[in-house]
Amino acid sequence: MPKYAFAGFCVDIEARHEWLYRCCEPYLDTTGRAPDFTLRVTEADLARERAYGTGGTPAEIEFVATYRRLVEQLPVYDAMMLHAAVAAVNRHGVAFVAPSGVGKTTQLRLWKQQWGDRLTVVNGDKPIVRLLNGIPYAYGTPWSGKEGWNTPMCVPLTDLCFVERAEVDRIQPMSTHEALGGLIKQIVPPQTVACAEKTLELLDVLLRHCRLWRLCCTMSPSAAQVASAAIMGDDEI
Amino acid sequence: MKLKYTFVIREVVGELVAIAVGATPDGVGSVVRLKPGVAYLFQKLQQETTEQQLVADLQQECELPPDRAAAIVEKFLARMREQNLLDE
Repeated sequence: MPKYAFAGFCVDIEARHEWLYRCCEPYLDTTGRAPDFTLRVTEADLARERAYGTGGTPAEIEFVATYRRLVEQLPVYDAMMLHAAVAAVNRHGVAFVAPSGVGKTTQLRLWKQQWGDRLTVVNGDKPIVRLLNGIPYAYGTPWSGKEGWNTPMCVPLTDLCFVERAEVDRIQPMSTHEALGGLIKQIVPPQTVACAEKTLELLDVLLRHCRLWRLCCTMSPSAAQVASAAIMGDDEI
Repeated sequence: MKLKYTFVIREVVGELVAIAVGATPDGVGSVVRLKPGVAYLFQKLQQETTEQQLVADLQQECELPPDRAAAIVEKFLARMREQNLLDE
């Protein structure tokens, strides 16, 4: 059975459809270590996924259900999935946080144009954030939204940038109180009491550790210029 | 009446936050920020109770006049209903 490395965990996958293996191929774990998790989607998982409104081919539904199986177990291991788009730029790990449709992907695209090769998209939609020695790291996974932007890597998460649409581009620091409201809407509802407790602990660490920004922005390149100037400071473009 | 889900309540960056266990992925109403005064009522709603009982509990806990306690409970329950968090 092939094994994969997701967020530093060794994961054994028993797939029904070859497509799942193909999507996960860049994340193959060849270390030979014992798996931390075995993911095998059941008929009940697939039925649950359809009930949640997940559409697509059986292979696509299996793909989504497999990630759900994984992320529902993560909080007790000090990790969770965050609905965000994460980029690694120089020493920064920047997460764009917003509900679907607001423009996370657009901001990421604008940042890619601005920073070129110095920017790597860690995950365009659903990174895993894991706490290691008190520091949050964002990880690439194959589950990364329509664009499929992901890289098998991790980056220390330094900045949470809450995206809002506006007529004029501006960015300002945010208080933990303000950011909490935005962050709690972008997490996966925990399925056990232990996971719920850990999820709240992780949120607390994230909000205390990262710099918090409110980015009110257009969809034009100036949005990335304004945000980059504040977040990246003196780093040269 | 009681809350639809079991909630875990913890302090996050100095605020009380309640998170539902076993909510569906849309997550609607699965995380609630609680003012300290309201956390007591929220906790009480984790078990089956009534509006009258909540008023009595609050009166006793906070030594409030009945009218004041009833008004607080009414406002709190309205918020819970608005967020579709109650099984009644």
